[in-house]
Amino acid sequence: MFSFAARNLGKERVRLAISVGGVAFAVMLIVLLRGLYVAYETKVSDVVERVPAELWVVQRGTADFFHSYSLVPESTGDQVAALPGVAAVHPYLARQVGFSLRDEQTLLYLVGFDPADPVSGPPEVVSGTDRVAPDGIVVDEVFAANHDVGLGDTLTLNGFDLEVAGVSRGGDMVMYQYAYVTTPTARNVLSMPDQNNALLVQLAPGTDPESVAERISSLSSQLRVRDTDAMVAVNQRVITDSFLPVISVLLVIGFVVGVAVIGLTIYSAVLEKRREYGVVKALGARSWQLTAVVAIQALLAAAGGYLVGVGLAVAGRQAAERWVPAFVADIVPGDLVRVAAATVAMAVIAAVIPLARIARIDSAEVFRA
Amino acid sequence: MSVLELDHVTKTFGQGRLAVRAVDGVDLAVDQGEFAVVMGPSGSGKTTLLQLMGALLSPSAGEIRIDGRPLAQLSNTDQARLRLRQIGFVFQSFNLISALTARDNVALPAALAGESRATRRDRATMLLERLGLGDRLHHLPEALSGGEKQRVAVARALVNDPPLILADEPTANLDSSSGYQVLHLLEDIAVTERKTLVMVTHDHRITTVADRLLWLADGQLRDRESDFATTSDPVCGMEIVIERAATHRQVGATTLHFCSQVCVDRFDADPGRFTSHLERSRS
Repeated sequence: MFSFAARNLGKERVRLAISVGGVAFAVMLIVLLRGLYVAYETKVSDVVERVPAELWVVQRGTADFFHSYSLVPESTGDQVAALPGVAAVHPYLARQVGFSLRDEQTLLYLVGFDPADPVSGPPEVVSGTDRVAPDGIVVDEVFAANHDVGLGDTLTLNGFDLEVAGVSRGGDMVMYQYAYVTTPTARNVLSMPDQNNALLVQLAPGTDPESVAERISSLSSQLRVRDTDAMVAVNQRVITDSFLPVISVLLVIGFVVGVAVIGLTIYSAVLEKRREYGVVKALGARSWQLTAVVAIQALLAAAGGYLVGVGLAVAGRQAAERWVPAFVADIVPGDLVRVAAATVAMAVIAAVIPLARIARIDSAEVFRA
Repeated sequence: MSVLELDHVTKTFGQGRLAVRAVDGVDLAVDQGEFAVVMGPSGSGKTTLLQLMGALLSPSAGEIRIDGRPLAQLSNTDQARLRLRQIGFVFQSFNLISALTARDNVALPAALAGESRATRRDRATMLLERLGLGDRLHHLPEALSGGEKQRVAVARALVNDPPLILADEPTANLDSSSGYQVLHLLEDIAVTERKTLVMVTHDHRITTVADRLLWLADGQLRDRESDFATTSDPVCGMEIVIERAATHRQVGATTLHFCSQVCVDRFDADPGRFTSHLERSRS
């Protein structure tokens, strides 16, 4: 049956190419969209996870750093540092800054850090240095590429001239990119001389985070303490709430395209060869054998489309990384397995109508000249 | 022993006034090794009769038995199994699968029957070599001549070693030379392998090699063509079986039979035009 199905499918090369191409397009779309989603989810969690602090102290009522504005007095840092179990407290200043660059309005997410102890500093420097002076700034590579900014260029933020001393990687948030300056510079640029956006708390070894969190919370009813996991969760919800519905719709469209392409090509093949199926039925094929022939053809078309589609997605991602730095897609093995399952589902659903047509074929037809 | 038996088999298509009896009360028994040929004009019901014998149609009345087993008692699955194991089909249009080579076409029924790949390929190769197609094993049907295609179809009919071969006009699409070759091939199979062979055909060449010649007209089967009482329609001149005539008119002592209402209407509009020869013969 496999050989019969495979040769039937392979005999019509154009139809096979359309079928495989259509599925490949759908699979590529699904893999890249899913990869895009995973990549942004990862980005959002990475900016939190890479900070070597166990607890984040923010203002009560703060949802995430994208949608709400947290203010924690500088004096609170000293109080937290004095609590048992606390090894170190670092101020966290981070806020979007709009500014004009070559007569165009643009955005940066400015983060303050201590170059000598870069707890909240750039995750990876790709050129220049992160040992910036008070008038230095490290910008993300995507920002640098998008705005043709390089080492030695000057950016003016809120009236402060900052020279690009380094270019970093991992701070692209699509609509804006991270940039890093020293904490004192951040206080000046952001006009926050005695306020922080959060406090980053490092614990002494063996300390129970929950008990420390309770102690911090008891300092003021205006404080909210979250561990890293909770911070990741609230920040990822930004992606989940804003992108997931759109991406879900596109994934469904991709799936439907795949089903339609396989279904139409296999159905047209069945219609065209209905006499041959009638012959096979007349010779004594049982229903399950005819079902297997159609199902195998649908699965082979789907499998071919899957392999080509994944290949195109990988190639597309590599090309995009080279030519469009803002584009990121994390293609992970787990997703490839899920997409493979979805492709099998495409084939199964697509085979239903051709199978119904096969069931109606009258084997007595084959006696007609 | 009869391999194939038909008892009062009738097949009616449609209902009421539109009902057409394609096969009408056929009784037939074909013995093992017998080569029976059913001849008759187009539309006489030959193909319908073959479809009934091949368990591809169910009779409206009567019973068909193959190797003593009534087909009506078999489920669809069992009928499919019976076609696979007990019956080999040879079609007028060859009906080879276009994507498969000659060898794989022959091996297909063996694959459907669950034979191993090696077994079915060996058997298909052996049959094709025996039928003179050893050098065509890997050719697709489109690369074969009509005679070669029909020989592949014969090999396919034999691959599961069925006791009964049903052939529908196997020479109709062949040139004269290929037609003779296929006829002798089928004759040889019936004789040497003791296969029961039922063939429906227009081909009069077969009369010399068949064991039994049957005539079918208007769904009724006779042992000889002369068993049918026939006459000519006085309007159109076509030969018709009297008992199946649409209607008749009495002109003096002569009964005129008509093939259809069309001819009756033409006759009734101007009887003299069609009976003048009767008047002359009477005078």
